[in-house]
Amino acid sequence: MENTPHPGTREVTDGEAIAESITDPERFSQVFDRHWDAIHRYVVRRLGPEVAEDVSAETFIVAFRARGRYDLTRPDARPWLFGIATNLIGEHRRAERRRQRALAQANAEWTAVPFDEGSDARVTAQRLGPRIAAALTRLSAAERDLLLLIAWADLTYEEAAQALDLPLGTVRSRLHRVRGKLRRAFGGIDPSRLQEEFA
Amino acid sequence: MIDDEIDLVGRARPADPPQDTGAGARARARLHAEIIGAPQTRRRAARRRAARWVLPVGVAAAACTAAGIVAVLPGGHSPSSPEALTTRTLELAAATVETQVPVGRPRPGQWVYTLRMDKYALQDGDVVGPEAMLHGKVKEEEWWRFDGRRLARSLQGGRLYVKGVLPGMGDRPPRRPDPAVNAGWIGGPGIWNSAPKVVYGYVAGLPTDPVALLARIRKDGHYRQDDYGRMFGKISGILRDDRLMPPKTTAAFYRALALMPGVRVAKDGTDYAGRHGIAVLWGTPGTRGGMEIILDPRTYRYMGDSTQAVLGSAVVDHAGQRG
Repeated sequence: MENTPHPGTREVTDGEAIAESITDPERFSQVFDRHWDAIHRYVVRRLGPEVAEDVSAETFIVAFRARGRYDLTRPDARPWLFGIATNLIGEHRRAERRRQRALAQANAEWTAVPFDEGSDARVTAQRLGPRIAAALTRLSAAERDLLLLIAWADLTYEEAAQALDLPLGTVRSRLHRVRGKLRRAFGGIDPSRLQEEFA
Repeated sequence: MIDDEIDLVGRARPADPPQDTGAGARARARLHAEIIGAPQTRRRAARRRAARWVLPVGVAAAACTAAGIVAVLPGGHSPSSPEALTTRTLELAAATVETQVPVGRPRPGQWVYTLRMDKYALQDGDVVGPEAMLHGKVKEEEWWRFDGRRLARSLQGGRLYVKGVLPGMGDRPPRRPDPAVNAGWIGGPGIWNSAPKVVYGYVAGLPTDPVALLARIRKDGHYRQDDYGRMFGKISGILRDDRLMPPKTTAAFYRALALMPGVRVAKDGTDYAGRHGIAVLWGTPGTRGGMEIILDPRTYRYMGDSTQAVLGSAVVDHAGQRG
């Protein structure tokens, strides 16, 4: 864990750094240095490297502006940052969908991508085996956000609940539903063989 | 061994980005700019100014975000075709204004101040008073009380004249002289319909979905299905008159323009004050039926057209106050 205190030199928690950044904004850089890699990696997985830089950078700017609302009793800022990143990914997806609609209407010849599939799905399809990609498209946006926070950002259920501002019970039941949908989508596939394909 | 379906998805995560592409350093620099640009005291002052003035501070940051979003929007079409340029530019404009700070509804006693460069072409004898002497480019300052009942004007930095405004065609001014109305009374639906409260109320009720918005403009104006020229004129007029438009509605208008066949965007246009901006065009400007809307190339806010330019605006407490 990033926040394990070293004996003697106790590290400042995210909560403490954010509290100090209220009066001394420069302290917020610590939060960036600690979590940039994880956030950036996750956004790259969701949206591809071209977009990820902007969306990840924006995540920290939004977080900095909202630092006054951070729950200072939480030592680890990861769930909070992943929550912000998830919102921005969703915003990006919506902006792209709107634009595709406009493009399709303004220029009827341009119909390369169906309206309901933004870069999120497209990148996924390029990078994943088509079977998993197809399974992901069967999920709602909210289900996909939750699943990928756990599967791709390695958040615990509790952290994912914090990130998405959901009760833990909702997270569990939603994941149960997701498992069912995935199982049906993978139907009849031997998981150990799939593992080979993606290794 | 795979425990369950979620684990399987986890193992199929896309490859990590290449090591050190400079993305982290650039992102850190952006955050740093935000940190040093926004210490406590200056930050609060900036927000106050933004609330007062229609042109908010922080637009640059917003534009940054929007540029980030649009830069990655899908290819697949010929990026140099005029249609693609028009759609791309108007979507960028919409995404940019959308994030800007709304002005909100003024209190009834407040005034909407607009500084404008306007084209005066009055013929001698048509009007009396200071306006009769003016031709061509005129700096016009206007304060319109939000309730619409008082309209104050100063031309070329000269004296402030306050007029009373009567809503209806046959309305008569009060019998007893009102000393606050030193330039008499004007009125009628033509004027009243562009009064701040009336425009604000109308615009607040407009849909923010571009397709629905276009349908609404068509219906309200009783325009033919394909009469995009008149719809363009109507939209241009609303953008010109409304200094209080919620950013989401402005964005919807830009997206609606992008949906209209015949609307084009040119990279370089000039408003009546000579300022350069992005031109949204209908027909050929300067010829019969040609119209244009000039947008600020950085903030994508409305700037003007070939006969007038909005140089500034604010919500203030008194006529004569400039923000």
